[in-house]
Order: sequence, then C-alpha cells, then structure tokens
Amino acid sequence: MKTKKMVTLGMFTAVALTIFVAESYFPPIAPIPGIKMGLANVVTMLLLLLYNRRDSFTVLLLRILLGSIFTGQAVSFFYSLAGGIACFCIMAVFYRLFRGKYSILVSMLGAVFHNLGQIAAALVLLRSPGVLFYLPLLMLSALITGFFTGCVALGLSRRLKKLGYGEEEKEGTT
Amino acid sequence: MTEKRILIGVCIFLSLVFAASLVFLIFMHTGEDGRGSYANIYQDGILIKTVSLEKEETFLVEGENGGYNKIQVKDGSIGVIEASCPDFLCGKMGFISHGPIPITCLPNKLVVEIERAKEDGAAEEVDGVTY
Repeated sequence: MKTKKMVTLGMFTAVALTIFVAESYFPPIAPIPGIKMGLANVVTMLLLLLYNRRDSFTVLLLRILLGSIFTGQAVSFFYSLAGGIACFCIMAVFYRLFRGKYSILVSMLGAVFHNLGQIAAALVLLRSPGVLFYLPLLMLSALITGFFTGCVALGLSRRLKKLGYGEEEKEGTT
Repeated sequence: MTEKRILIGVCIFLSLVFAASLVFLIFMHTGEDGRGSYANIYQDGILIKTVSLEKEETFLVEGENGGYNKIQVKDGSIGVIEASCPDFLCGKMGFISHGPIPITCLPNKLVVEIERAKEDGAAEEVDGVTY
C-alpha cells in the first residue's frame, strides 16, 4: 500500500518535472516575465483532488527544487518557490472550504496568487517598484491559464479515479 | 449556506481582479503619450546609469557571474540587443520610448525604466521665471 503510493507520487513528480522543463523551452507567449501557461500546476491541483494537501505540497516542492536544477537558473528557484507556495496555500484553503467543489475557481484563485507571489519576489529581488506595472497583464493571464489548468486537472482527476488512482485507503482494497 | 457566501466572494474577487486589470491596462497604454527623454538603468535595485535617449549609443552592463546585457539607444528609444540570459526576454520586450512599463532581465537583476519627462517640467519652470 505504502509502496504503491510512494511510486505513484514519484511518478507524478516526474510528470510535473517533465512538464515544467518542457514548458521552459516554449517560446514566451508575451514579452513579459512570468507569463506562461503554468501547466505544471495541473499536477499540484490534480494531487490535491486525488490525494491530500501533504502529498501535493511534497510533489510541488520537489518539482520546484529539481526543476530549477534542471533548467539551470538559480534565480528562477526563488520566483517559482514564492509563486508555488502562495498558489498552494490559497488552493489548499479554498479546496477545503469548498470541500472539493468548484475546483476550476480554486485553480483560478491559485493562478492569481501564484503571479502575486512572483511579483512580490520580483519586488524583493529587483528592488524596483516598476515591476508592479506588469501586474495587470499577469493577472489577466493568470485568470485565463488558471481556468484551463483547472479544467485539465478536474477532467484528469475524474478519469484517473476510474482507473483506481486516488485515496484508495478508504475503500480498503489492496 | 456559508459555502455559498464564500463562492460568491470568490467570484466577486476574481471579477474585480479582471475588471481592475483591464482598466489599468487601458489606462497604462493611453495615459502617457509624450516621449521620455531619459532612461534610468538599475542593477540589483541600484541606479547605475542614466542615459539620454537623444544620443544614440550602445553599451554593455555587466553583472555578477559573467552575466551581461548589451543596451542600445536609437531613435529616442532604448532596448536590449544582446544578453547572457537564456530566454532573452529582455530583448524580446523590444525598444521602449515612453510609458511606465520597464524592461527587466530577471536573471541579471536589470531594470531599464523611462524617466518621466522631468526635463519638460524643468523647462516649464524656466518659462515661469521668464514670465
């Protein structure tokens, strides 16, 4: 049982990492730092839907750490961490408040706070208030990408649950 | 019951974010038309250089760990033409000549901002004195 979960989470870490690294090779959608699809966030949301907060957070931290090693940018680690933790916290809180419902809205909230976290990190690292002028574009892109990642995560979680993923401990089947 | 309230709250919050972003975006692109006459270049939050946009020049800003950005001033605008960063977003942001949106290079901690037309203000003051 435990081994199965460990393997599953390891697999999801690999999936998140692959998406993260592949996405960093995509040409930027807009010439503004921070605008990207945030597809790796699908895995964070998916694990929140399939398992629990702890597992989702562990995979998120591993993905950010390994991701910044693989993409070779030390700076991106702080931006990813600030965004990732802000996003995760808000998603975990609202996932709980809504008891697992409205996950697309939760994902949109997460994306908005992800970008807010990144702007906060940029304010600290660059010490220039000028980055605040990126905020409107970043917010608009977060609402759009958050909607799509939420849809993907919701659809995936429904299909994966049919395949036997998720909290199987409740059923007691080994 | 409370769940419904939270749901409405979240929806209102997201709509507000959407509306505010749109308003600011339109405002930012129509607000300032005049060209700035100076650009400030910051590295690590410290002002390292102020250049006039009237004078065409190309120079190199070197950062830590061998990072660099080659900056060019031409036709009253400023932009990055070459950089050590892998994504080259700073260069893809193109040349700016006015407005509040800066050019940034996150890996090299570089910010290029157009200074608000301070010279124009000074000129007006001079006019005030001559009057």
